[in-house]
Amino acid sequence: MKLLKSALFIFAAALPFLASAQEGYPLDGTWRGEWGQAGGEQTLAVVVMNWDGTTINGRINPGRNTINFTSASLNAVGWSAHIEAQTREGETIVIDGVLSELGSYHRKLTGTWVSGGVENQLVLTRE
Amino acid sequence: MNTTLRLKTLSLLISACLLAACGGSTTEESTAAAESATAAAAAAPAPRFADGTILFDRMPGELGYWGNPSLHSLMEKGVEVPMNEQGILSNIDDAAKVAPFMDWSLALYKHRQANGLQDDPVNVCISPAGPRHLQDPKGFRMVQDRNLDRVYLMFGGGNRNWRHINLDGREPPNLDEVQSTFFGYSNGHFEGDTLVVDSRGFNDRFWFSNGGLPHTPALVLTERFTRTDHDTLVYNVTINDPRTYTRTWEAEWTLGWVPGDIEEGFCEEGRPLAGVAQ
Repeated sequence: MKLLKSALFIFAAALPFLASAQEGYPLDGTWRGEWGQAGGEQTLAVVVMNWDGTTINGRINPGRNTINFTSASLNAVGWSAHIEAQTREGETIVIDGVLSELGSYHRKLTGTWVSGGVENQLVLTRE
Repeated sequence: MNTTLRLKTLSLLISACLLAACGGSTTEESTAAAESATAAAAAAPAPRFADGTILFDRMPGELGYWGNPSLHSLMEKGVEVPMNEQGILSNIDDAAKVAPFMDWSLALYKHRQANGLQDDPVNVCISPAGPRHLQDPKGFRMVQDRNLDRVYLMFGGGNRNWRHINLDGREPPNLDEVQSTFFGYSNGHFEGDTLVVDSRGFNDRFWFSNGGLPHTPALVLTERFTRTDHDTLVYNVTINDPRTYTRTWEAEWTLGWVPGDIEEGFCEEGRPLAGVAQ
């Protein structure tokens, strides 16, 4: 318990520094959040994105069941992102979201996650 | 030759001071004499080491540093767009003229401009880096360490940070193999009297220019430092960041020699850089 308290204290102390960095391409980095029906069960999602100058490369839930992006774009007018990815089983995932808190390290991508023909809500926060 | 010129300058300065002290002239005349002395100093050639290498810092017994940049934000060479000392454009419609932006970087630049640069990391004491340090009103020094084959850039701005430039002939690092940092990795060599520096390996946790021009870790700078005379340093930088700009581009400004020492100052989060007792 003492250890947990210490870890929480260190995390809290570091927050001001973490909250004010990463100033490059707005989608670059690791994003974490949840998708699901409003008021219903939410599913954790981790999305990693990297801009190489021409393409936004990325993957969802890195690990054994990584889902790779098939396409992604960011429209700088309104900061809307569109991402398509495909699972190993061939299921397509479509994410549409809008960036907010652009100047913050922990900016947000809020929108929809469509999979299996069902539209869900999605909120991702940049870590 | 240098010594003669310096002595001449010194004697002009002393004359100007004496004129003022003796009350033999009006304030205007004293000012004119001082300006004349300053003009004479401006004509002095750049100092050199015994082997002829340009000296970018002080001569023995001298106090001074580089400051008063002629430009306050990165802007493509040849472009003239009005902006204030923080790099805020007088007219936001000029934004696209400043650099060859990609769509996203132009939009981000405009966003930062439109909100008065409130997201500037400097506001929370995250140091500027890259060319921005060389436009800081607090100035900087370029100290050549000939034993270690290095040049140290010592900044008055930010938190009085410093970076170094290796002159030992090493190759630039592979960007895929180095940890990106605020000041990157700088290797330099002389081309005639110009110090040419390759700087890369930057992170994207800072703004590399006043005014909020974006960059990514792909940024590579070619910096050229030329001391054209005792009082003038020309800084030219080529910006290559293919993730942010559609092509490489160049910016250039001059810095003046400021007699005296860099003002001591420290950054306090949430407050402007505070000057401490002189």
